[in-house]
Amino acid sequence: MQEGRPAIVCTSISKNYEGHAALADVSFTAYAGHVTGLLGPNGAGKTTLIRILTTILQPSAGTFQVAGFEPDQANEIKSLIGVMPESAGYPKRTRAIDLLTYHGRLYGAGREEATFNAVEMLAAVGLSDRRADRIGTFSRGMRQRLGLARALMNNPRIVFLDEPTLGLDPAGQHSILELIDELAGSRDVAVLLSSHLLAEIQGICDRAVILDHGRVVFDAEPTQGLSEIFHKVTT
Amino acid sequence: MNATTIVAGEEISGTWFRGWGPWFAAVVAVAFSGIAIALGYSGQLNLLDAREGLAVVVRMSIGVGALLVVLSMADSISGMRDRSTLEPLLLTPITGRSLLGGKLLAAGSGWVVVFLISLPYLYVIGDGLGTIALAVGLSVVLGALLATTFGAGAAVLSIRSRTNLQTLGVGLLGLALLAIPLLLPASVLRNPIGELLVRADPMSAAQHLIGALIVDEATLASEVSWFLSPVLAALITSWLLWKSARFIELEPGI
Ligand SMILES: Nc1ncnc2c1ncn2[C@@H]1O[C@H](COP(=O)(O)OP(=O)(O)OP(=O)(O)O)[C@@H](O)[C@H]1O
Ligand SMILES: [Mg+2]
Repeated sequence: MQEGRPAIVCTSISKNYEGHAALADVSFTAYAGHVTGLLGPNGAGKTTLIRILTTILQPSAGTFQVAGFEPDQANEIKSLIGVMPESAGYPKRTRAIDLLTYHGRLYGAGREEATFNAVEMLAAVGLSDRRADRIGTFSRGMRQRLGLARALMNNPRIVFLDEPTLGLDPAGQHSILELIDELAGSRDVAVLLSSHLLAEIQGICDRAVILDHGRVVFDAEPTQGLSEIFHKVTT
Repeated sequence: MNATTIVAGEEISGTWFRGWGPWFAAVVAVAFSGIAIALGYSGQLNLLDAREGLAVVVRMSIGVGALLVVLSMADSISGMRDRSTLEPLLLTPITGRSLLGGKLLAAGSGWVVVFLISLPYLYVIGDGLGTIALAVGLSVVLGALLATTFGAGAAVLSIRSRTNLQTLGVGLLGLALLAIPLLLPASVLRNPIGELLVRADPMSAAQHLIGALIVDEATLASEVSWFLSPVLAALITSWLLWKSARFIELEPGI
């Protein structure tokens, strides 16, 4: 597959927690218009890597570029990325539409523009009919979709999704993966999708990186022996 | 609109339209009414005279207002850590300073509401004393200084604590220590170390000012040096908050 512009360039990133290495010398590149899978068992370092690349955690060593910006240009990076964190909480008494509107305004959108975008995003994730409901009344899967909508509120060039299908039923998984596919394909967005499910990555990713104990053990197209290495890592 | 006002607006509507704000205001109004009624039915039962009653309302408005601000600001960052709502906010381009500035403004609205509720009581209790303007002025100045001090202090703790329980624990311990000079007998002022202690603690300095100016009718000029610690404390805690808010960590100390 032809490669587009590099969106994420990660160079020798390490992260130590009290002497224990969560990431060791991680390097890879992700491209615009591609879905890059970040695969690995529990504790492999996926969440840590995403937090570093999204500038909210400092690496112990190494550097990176996101959308062409360096780690010290965190605000430039933040305004161009959309992130769905692994375990985001939501204010229970806030209505879905208000949460997204507020979020949009934090990126500098005016109230009307942010409300318009919020309505659009809620429709895109299939939550139109619940948009005026308090988030406390949402099921887990609905909150997950709300999280995806929130990650897209600033029309990001690069999207980081940390296990976005966790806790969704098969139909919900399918619709989220379809949305992700469309983002990369028709909007030329770079997507970094973390998962511990091989099938998910095989189905949607143009490229996959496997992390194991904080190290990259695979970085290629999924057809090039992904499942063999993944099985070795997980058994 | 800048980021600080957007955050402040969101927090204010969270407190006053979706949260506990109106209930709290009602409780405060009931408490003030209780005092006013107690003072109104004077007779032998009531040991406080009107000046002391006025001082009580001023102390209550300042104390309850500051407590409200402390509770909101203690929750500001560590509460969001506990509820996992911090990470999505840190991922937006808004700076830590705008975030905390907005939260501090919103928390200040609690103090403003308590102050406004106290106004009619000040007028009723202080009727005919000629000290109403002084009482209102002290409520505003000392209230703003103490709310800033304790609000900013609580926010700094909140930024640095891993959990809200830690913030509340350390914060309450700090408040309890600062409250000790309030309990000392007035005679402590006759000894220089005692006086230094009462002057250095912004809480007891404020308490002294209210008593001296409203109850004992001292002149402002003779008491002005007592404003030093409330002013310094507000400046120092604000500066600390300004420094601490530059980089808010998802999990501090890791
Ligand atoms: N705050 C922390 N303090 C200490 N160690 C941590 C911390 N966060 C993560 N780690 C360690 O870093 C390693 C990587 O964790 P991380 O959460 O990145 O894994 P993950 O691949 O996202 O796992 P999962 O699939 O379970 O989400 C683990 O060994 C974990 O114990
Ligand atoms: Mg994870």
